[in-house]
Amino acid sequence: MIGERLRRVEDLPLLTGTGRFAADISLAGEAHMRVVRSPVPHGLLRGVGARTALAVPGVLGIWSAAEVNLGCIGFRMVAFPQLLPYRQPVLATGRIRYVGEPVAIVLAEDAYHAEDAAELVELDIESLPPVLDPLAEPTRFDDEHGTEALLHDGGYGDVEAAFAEARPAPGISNCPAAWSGWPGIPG
Amino acid sequence: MNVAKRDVTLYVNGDRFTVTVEPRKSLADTLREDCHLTGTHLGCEHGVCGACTVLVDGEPVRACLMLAVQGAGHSIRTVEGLAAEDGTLHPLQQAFWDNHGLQCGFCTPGFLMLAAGLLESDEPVTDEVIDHVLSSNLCRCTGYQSITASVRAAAEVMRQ
Repeated sequence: MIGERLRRVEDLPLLTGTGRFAADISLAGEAHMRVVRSPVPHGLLRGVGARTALAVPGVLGIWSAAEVNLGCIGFRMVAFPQLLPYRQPVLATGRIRYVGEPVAIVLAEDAYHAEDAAELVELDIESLPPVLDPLAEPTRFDDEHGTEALLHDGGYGDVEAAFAEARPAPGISNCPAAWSGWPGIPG
Repeated sequence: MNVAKRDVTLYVNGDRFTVTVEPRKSLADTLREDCHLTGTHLGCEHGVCGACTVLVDGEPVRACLMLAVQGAGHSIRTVEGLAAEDGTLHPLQQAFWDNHGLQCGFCTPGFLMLAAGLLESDEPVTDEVIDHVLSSNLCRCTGYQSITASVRAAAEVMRQ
């Protein structure tokens, strides 16, 4: 009947531990990956030292952007061409922009040894002061671009008239929260 | 880092498993990878979310914080061992199904084993006790009301 509570058809495997989630799949010869991440919010990446980490048994490879160009992560919702230089690289290239930014990946035969090796990867980062205030004066994003990527003024209808007629006139000031790689987490 | 592996005998859901693992390998990883019991899920891997909860000698334990070698000789029960051999669901499994106690199902094995530890113990089961016990596990989609309702319903069934 309409409105009646339906019995979910997918629950039996989930309740008995026989569902298959992505991590439940195990293939012969599979490798495990661990990401080495930046401990600082802002800096210049001078080098990635993998010699010691590569000696860990079971390690298959350690790659940073110097070894493998994985490109940038595209935008999903907005696609202003002015924003293209600001896309986040899959692996940091030259500059570090937030705590936790992926700098290198470690591939190993099992997750434990991937984790061992990741802890031994040496990151040579020249730390720079982070920008924590979104309203602060713009600074350098990279050699060609400032941190003010785009001024976007959008709207529809007669905004001036709407505000003029509003009683009382509303006022709102909004500053977006940290997202998409804002270096707002102090190292 | 390259420590010799050890043979460990685990008793899981009444079955005997002899596995060869590094001493540092967690019980959760061992259950999943060596015993091939992937019903035990790993969420946070540091003891916060409770998705990996199993029963060790009847007590709920976070399997990500226990080593496989520590499980040697103990009786371990996972979600795969909750239903009867003929497939009859445990009252908790039935109640979760009847009361919309799960959505994506990832945290469900942990909640089931956590609640099984409570309902199969001698502890008096009040609403307050259920809320207190369930507060140790995290669910990110179902919402806790339907989970607590499921456990209350199962408790009612198990009292009869």
